[in-house]
Amino acid sequence: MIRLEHVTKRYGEMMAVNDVSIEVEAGEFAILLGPSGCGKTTTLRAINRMIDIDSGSIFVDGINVLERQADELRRHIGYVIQSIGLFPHMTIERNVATVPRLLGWDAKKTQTRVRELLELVGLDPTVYGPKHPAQLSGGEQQRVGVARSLAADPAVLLMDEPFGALDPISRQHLQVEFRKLQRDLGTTVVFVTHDVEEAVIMGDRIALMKDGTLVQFDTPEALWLNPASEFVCDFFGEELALKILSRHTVAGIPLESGPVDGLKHVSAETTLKDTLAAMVSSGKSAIAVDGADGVPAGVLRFETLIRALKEPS
Amino acid sequence: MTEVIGLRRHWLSVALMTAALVWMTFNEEGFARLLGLLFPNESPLLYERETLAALMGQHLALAGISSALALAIGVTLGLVLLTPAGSTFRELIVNLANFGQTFPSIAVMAMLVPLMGYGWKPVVVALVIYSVLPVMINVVAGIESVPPATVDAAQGIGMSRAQRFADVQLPLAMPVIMGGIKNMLVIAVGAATLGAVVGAGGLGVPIMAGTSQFNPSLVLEGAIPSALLALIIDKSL
Repeated sequence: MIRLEHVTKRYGEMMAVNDVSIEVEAGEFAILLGPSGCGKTTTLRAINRMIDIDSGSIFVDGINVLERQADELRRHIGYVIQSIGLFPHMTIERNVATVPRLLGWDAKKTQTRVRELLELVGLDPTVYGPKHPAQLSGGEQQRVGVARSLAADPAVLLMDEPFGALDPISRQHLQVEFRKLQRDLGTTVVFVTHDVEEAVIMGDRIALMKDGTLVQFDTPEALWLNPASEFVCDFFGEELALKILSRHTVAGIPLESGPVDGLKHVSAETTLKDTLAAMVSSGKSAIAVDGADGVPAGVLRFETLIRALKEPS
Repeated sequence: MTEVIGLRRHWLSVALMTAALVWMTFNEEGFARLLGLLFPNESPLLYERETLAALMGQHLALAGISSALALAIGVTLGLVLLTPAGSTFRELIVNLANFGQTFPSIAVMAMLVPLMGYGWKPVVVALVIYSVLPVMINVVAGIESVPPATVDAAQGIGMSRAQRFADVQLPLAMPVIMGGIKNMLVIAVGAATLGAVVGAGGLGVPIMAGTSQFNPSLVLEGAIPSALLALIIDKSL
């Protein structure tokens, strides 16, 4: 869906992006991750031509972006940036209607779409539609930002630290909700962040960048098990394993039979992170896993959990 | 609720001042009686060679024409300064405008009279030179006060340069630009009294006459309406 081939961008002497090649599949959630100044934002902004690259080429849906008129291209690629990207002088309704207006939709179609989008991001259109951005919380504003970017039903969505300015609680909420929304819509997402936790929770694959170059582009599990370099290990640290635990649930891990007396209970949908936390807090190296009927289906042992993580199915 | 009350009080003062201004302009007997209470021994109480209504008309014409010109020039210069090409001249133009504002208007008029003769022309030129600065500076400051992230978002979702300017930058800059226009109008209304010096008429005429005749009643006949005008503009914009 998105293909970057040997993309290079210089700012004076500095190589902001140096020979980066990435291919993002349709429907994939790709993360651009790395320390400040690694070139992740520059790479993202090259995709919708907010930045002109010096060499290389970028294809969206098989078409070279340079062959399309820049404004026209951008209207069909969603774009969400950190916090204040909303227009403060326009109502929420008008903000969300921006792209349909630019595309020349008629009033009725636009209005229907705006209502649909606000509902999609969990905001009541009759309550929020007439308000102005300043009357909304940060989390609500960013929901509007997401709704606005989805207005023309883009196949591709570019996001630059969209949840960066939010408090931890609304941030987590939005991460989970947005990921679900993205799966339902099948949108291809390229998402810039410097937060490892966010990257691991949300991404199908993570492109780790350093000094303008792509270090490794792979699933979080592969980055953990087969790091391409010392930098990858150092950047993610030992905690990567713990973060990966939240990407998997108990379902699919072989259980043992045995007594469940005195053990804490979890369900098959519980994440491995929460399962481990329950083990730690109960002081036992095993936990009872309940089946769909609520009856214990078996016992999960700490050793099994650890092994399962090392051999992802 | 408080907002509504605040708004009403605001418009109430504007309405009262406007009513007072209209009353004194068209009811000379009443205005003279009022000034007579303050200065019982002065005579005449009002300027005799022209009515206050005529002086007011000249004054509004002077201030109006120069404001319209200053607005057009100030906005144009401000927009030019915002272009990449114009930004290289920014320091020069801002310095020139600053100089225009610090250089005494009365001196500008005096220098222009030999070129343009007596009358309204040198006054308008001097007023324009004097009042271009606040408009120009506020156009630049207003557009530049728009958060870059907002403009970035506008570009990122596909607004063209013209659409970004008209739909995002200009409306968000409007409060600052209006502040500059208000300043300019207040300045123009006050400075237009100088027109009397070079025979352009206006509310400065009775002020000058009163000064030379040591007649404070005539001074107030020009000063009160001119101050009211400035206050009305200041409160209503």
